[in-house]
Amino acid sequence: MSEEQRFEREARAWLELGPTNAPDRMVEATLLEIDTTSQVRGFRVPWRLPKMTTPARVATAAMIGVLAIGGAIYAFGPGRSSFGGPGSAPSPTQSPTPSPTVGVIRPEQLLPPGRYGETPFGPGGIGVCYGQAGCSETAADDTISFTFTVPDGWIGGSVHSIFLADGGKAAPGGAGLIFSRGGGLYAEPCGDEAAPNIPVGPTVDDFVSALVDHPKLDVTTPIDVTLAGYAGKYVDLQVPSDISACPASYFPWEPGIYAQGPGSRWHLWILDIDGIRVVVQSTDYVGTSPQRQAELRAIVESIQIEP
Amino acid sequence: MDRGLVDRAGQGDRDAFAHLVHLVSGGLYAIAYRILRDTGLAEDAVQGALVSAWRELPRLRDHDRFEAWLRRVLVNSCYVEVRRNRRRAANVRALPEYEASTPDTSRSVADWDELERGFRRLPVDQRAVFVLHHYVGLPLVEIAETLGIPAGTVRSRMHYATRALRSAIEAGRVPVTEEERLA
Repeated sequence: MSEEQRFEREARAWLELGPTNAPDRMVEATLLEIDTTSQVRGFRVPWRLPKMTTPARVATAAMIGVLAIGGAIYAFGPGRSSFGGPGSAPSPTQSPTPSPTVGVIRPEQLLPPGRYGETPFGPGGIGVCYGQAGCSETAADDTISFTFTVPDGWIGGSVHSIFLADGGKAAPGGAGLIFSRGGGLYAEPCGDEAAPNIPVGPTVDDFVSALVDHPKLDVTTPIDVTLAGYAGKYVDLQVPSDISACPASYFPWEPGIYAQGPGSRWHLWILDIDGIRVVVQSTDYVGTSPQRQAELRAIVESIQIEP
Repeated sequence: MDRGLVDRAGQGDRDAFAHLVHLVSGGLYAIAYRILRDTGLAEDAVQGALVSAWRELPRLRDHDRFEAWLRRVLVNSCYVEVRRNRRRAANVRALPEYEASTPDTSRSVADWDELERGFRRLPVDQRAVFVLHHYVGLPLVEIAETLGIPAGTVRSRMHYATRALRSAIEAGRVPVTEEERLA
């Protein structure tokens, strides 16, 4: 029996543990609630989220006027350069005025323009220790929260992320944003090892040095940067233009994300939040439209961080 | 599934839907518990899913897809519960509340402990794919259709989950060092 078969057998046996009957109180409570709940009128809904037409976008933008205008100012205002490359890293920015309401990002749900919040490292969120022997999770990062302004046309992703509603995360025109901590690297990002095999220390410099020194990662020279008032380093990582030969996916570090497509450009703000390293990662492609690149940059520049 | 019951429930027949609730609630609860690893959250997720299903059923065009549609509603309800309860969701070592019906080797028990810990660290969308595949027995393509996401995304989530869980098991087999023992 192979190791893979052994794992699947173990996993299935483990999943068999647990209840198979619903508690009576839950069924009764459900029926009581249904008794007082009306059905919606019947009409067809698409199985997938629809791509909005231009008139629909205009109508939505008009309805949400103030927030949409705010997003547009961020996206198209003077001095905003296109995304990518050390030269386009954000300069120290003034913190935007907080919005009175902060929306919750839900996976696969279209995000109305507005201010949104993420607390990615709390219990049940993104960890720091995937596959790293000797590493232990810390509660010190649980409360770190990020709020940012999202314009029209973005969608909630899984794993505390957002991406384009019409272009997704994939090539040729996708874009996305995700928060993580950074950790151990894979010696072969295009491989299939079960765990990272290049240990990385806990600081910003540890992670940046590991990225720069990695012989198989195409990373720009780090530059000092400040985002949301926190200092750190900025680098770009260029995913190879052909990752079709990767046995599983292109995956440089844990816990991190796999490349959503060949040629993806990863823009990394590696920050020190009161002694805790966090990674703000936006991704796009050469083919991502200038408008969407500007929006992505504006989203990053609108980030506020609460430790 | 009784297509007639689904048709009647879709036309507003509460008794028909109550019958459906009794038929499906056990299976939904089993899935929700395995995704969420918490009986209270699973109850809330199933209740939320069934009430949503009742509300939205008139919009379901193809009643033959009721079961798949209901699974999707349930998984979305699980996402909601995770986010709603993120702050109080335990992220600590926890053993399953239910014991195996048959004795097993000590290695399996140890591996299950690591599986439990590793699984709790997975994002809920990866947990859902893992449970739908290994517990419900759905092929990856059918999971993609059920959840309304690309098959490649399902494969990626499965790959990521599998890798993380295998790593968790492997890490659990590493002998504890003196430093870790004292930590």
